[in-house]
Amino acid sequence: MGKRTKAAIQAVILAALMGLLTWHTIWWHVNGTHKELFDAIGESGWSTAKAVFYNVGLMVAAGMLLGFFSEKITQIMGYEVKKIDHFADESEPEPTTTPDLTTRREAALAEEAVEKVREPTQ
Amino acid sequence: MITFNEIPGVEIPIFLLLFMGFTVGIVGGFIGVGGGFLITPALVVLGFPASLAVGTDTTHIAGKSIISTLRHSQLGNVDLKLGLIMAIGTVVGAEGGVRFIEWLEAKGIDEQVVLVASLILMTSIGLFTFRETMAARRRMKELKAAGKAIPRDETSSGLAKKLQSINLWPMIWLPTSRVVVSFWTVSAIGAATGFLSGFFGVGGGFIRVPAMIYLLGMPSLVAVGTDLLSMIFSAGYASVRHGMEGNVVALAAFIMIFGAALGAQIGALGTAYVRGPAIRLLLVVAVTFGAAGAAVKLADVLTDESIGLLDIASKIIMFGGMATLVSLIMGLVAVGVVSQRRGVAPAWAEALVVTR
Repeated sequence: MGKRTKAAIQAVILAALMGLLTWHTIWWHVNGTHKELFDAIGESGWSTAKAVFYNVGLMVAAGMLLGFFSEKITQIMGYEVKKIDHFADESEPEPTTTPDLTTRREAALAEEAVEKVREPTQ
Repeated sequence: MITFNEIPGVEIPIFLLLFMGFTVGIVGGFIGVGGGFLITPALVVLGFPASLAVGTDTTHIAGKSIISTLRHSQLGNVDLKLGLIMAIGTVVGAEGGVRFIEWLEAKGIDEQVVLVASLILMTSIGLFTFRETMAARRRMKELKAAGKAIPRDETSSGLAKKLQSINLWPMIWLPTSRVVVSFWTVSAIGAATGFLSGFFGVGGGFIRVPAMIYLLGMPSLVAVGTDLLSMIFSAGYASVRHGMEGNVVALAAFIMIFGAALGAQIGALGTAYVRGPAIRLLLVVAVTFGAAGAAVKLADVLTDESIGLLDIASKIIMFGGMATLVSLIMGLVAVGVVSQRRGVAPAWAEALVVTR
């Protein structure tokens, strides 16, 4: 299985999980469970802990799913994330464009001409 | 439009929440700040009570930091060991900061003290970072002009060397940052920055990132990634504290995190195209907006009445801050991408973006 195919499958799974989490959040908002949790804060230790862990858990789950999902998306796109060398010196840049063949051809012709001039005429 | 059962009467367009998340996602991913100085006042403007705005924002920051940290770790910008030690120090310090502010609150002088202190601190950080970054930038330009290799990062401050020379057991080796430093130095810096973040009621990125760069001698990009790792724990802890007070609107935080997820990718991946001074200059811009916001709030508290002009000024600072920071980051990253493709950067950006 190719790298991209694998990433696509993983992205689909993560998207499905994210969809489930979103559906749950909207459902709990609509049926008033969020409000119940919110109003119960301070009533007892357990109800406060439940609300607090729900909030933190929701954010951790969303953060992890979205973080890994984004990672997979960049893999599908073929964007290569390289580790940064923080201590590298940047010397003069190497040519990144394709060599200028016109210039090379002209130089070669000029060299040939010089050679011809140097050669004793028969 | 969406309504929140927890705050009756407040209606906010979903798009706006997504956009706000997107904005702080970019800013946070790029310079390592939580963005509380932007989101909290924005939520207040949209009708959230201040305590709920802070709690909701902090909870969203905890989730957003996970996304940014995952990406930064791929880029090699996270010093795991340092981040975890800092996180412990930060949480302990933050608790101290919260207790101190509660003590001031009992005396009835909390608001003035916090605003004056944050104004002084942000102005000092901004001025120091700006002066130092300009010096570093000049030095990099001189190296380039002399035909020498220029490093990815450069700082002109000698503070870090002094702190690294404190030989107090146990000494720890931080391979990602290439720094040997005493465990106690790291813990003390973590606790101090945590104390300040607890005291000011913010995530503390704008304090921790310069502290890691100038006091520990870390490369700017590693400071950003490591700070985001610490922020998962510090914002998570703050989220628990706010949650216990009933200050978190889970749905608003959940919506914002979707926007933040996209923004965080742009911000974090953008760091691959820039040098250390670029991060620090953007941090100066962020701190300037934060200081301006604190100055307006202070004027509001001191005049003891709500003045229309101050209200307008705070909105301009908040939305202007968001727009300016996002434009500058996107612009700089665009210049970085083009410079890397061409193998050469414009003269003004030579010390800001990488070309290879």
